[in-house]
Amino acid sequence: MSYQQAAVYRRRAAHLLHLATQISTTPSMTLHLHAGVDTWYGPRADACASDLERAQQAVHDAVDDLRTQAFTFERRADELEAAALQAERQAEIEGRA
Amino acid sequence: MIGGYDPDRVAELEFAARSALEHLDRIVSTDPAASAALDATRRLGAVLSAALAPAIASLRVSDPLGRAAPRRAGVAGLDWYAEWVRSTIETARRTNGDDELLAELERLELDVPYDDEFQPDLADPFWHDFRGLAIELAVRAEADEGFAQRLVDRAAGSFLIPIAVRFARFDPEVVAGMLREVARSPSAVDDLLSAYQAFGADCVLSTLIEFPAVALEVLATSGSALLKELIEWPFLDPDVVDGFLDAAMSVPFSHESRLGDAHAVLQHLVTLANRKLHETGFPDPISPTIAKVVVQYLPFFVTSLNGHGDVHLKDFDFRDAGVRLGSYEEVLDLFGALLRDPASLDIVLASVPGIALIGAGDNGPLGITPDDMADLVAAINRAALNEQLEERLKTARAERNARLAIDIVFGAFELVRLVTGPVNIGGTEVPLDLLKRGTVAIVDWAITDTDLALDDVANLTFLLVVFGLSIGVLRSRSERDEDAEDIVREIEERTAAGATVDDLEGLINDLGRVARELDDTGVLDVLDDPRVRPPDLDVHDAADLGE
Repeated sequence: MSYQQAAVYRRRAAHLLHLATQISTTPSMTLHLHAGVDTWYGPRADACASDLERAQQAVHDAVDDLRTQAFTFERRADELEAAALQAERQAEIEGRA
Repeated sequence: MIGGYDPDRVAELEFAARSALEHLDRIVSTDPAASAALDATRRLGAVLSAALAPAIASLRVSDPLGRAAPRRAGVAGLDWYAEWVRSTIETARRTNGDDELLAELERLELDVPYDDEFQPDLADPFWHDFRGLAIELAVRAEADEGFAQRLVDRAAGSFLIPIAVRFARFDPEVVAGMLREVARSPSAVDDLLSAYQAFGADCVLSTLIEFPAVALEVLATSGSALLKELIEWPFLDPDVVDGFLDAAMSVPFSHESRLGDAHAVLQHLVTLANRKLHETGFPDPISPTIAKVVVQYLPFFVTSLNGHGDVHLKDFDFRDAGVRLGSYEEVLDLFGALLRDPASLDIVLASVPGIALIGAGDNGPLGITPDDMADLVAAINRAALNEQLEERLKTARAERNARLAIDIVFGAFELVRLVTGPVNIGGTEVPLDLLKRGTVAIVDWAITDTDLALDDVANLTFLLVVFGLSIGVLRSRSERDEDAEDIVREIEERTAAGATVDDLEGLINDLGRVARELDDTGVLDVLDDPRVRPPDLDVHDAADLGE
């Protein structure tokens, strides 16, 4: 059962990493390059740029959290597999005895 | 209030924002650990649609001619000469009338440079000047619907109009209109003009890859005519067509409301497969793309592949969508057309273990049973018989790549899993990637080490079913079975070492036998079904492992 749980954690970790890459490479994360003073200026343009920057920063933070969570899932999978392996070895030793 | 702006750069910003929104809409996940990230992307999307887009729209209202406001001092001065050159090139045509611009386009078509392979020579300075014209066309099309329509109407006759899409940002709806026109008069003649026309079509298709929802809409609403040209126009770049179809047909998995459009495209595919022209299969470069599309939607029509009557499509809740894909025989022709191409055959075959596993699962909302899987195997085998594909398969074997085929199939299943949820057997989730390695091994072996022909399709589908179901049964058990795991390992090792047909057949039958002994759910009983078991294979006589 532990191997199955570990596989589920690994799959979730891979999915979260993929999602993190997908989000961080979306064109919206480079949109500020099109929205600078070369393109437009004035109070409303400044407000848009400011809103955009805040929203992008929140996405950056969320992407970091996704990667951290993926790392945690990977570690959890390692622990489960190690525990399962240990249990198998123990059973083998007890079987010989 | 906006103090000043550059209309061309604002047009770029608007285009980039629309593309960004489309990409954000495609980010989906059912994992609870991703909910905060999805919330953040939704908030970013809200900024784009609720703040940025209205601000851009307000510019159009306040200055419908889109002329540039004076720049703030010092901004352009950082690199004033480059800025002056850019601005001069991009606005040089601004004083021309619409008719003058269109006449200039016609004149320039005589001067388009070509390279040694008779393709447009993009390194030539001609295109630097053309960029200014393309930007002016885009600016006017944005401001004047009538002018945009004139461009669309002329797109088929003037190849520089679709090519302009590569150099300036046009509204995606205008680009979609151009695609409809361009695809109305493709040429099968290998000459310079045809090369330019095909290049123009590639430019339009590449742009619409960034707008998958528009791509799907134009495919669905153009009847089978547009799809026909994408498949049959020999000078289109197959990678571009692949990207276009893939982007379009993936849309419903993030926007279920667009499923009807995808169903229409699938109906067009069945129609095309039944045309006389495709009795020998779809053209090589595009056939694997079509196979991928079919496999992606296979779980949503496999339950009505029951050997007679009509085949109907289901929605993502697995309710009848009320859409007829075609008659059973017509859908068999679609499979048959795909089996004609070796790379597509691999993709269709590689879908079998996945469907077998789904069929063996606890069903839940899927509603796919082992009986449906048996119908799929029967359909593939019948299609193979219908097509008499022997000779073609043998000649093209060297070009095949099993790993790529399996990647395509399992990528498609991952997308499907987003809407169907995981496959469970006995309440335990069975990750599809468990099947992946073994499926690669078996299909790779079939391609390289067997004389895969008509009869072998039936044998191979059977082996893949046994493999898929056995893995499913073994993984559903809380206790591990060493015999079964030894056999799985042996299959992988022997296939990697180039096992013979007899070696592998015996091993997989052994796996099936061991799995049957452990199977308390009865899912492996389907192996006795005559639709699944090839007539010349005796599963009860398999050699034991180690004999």
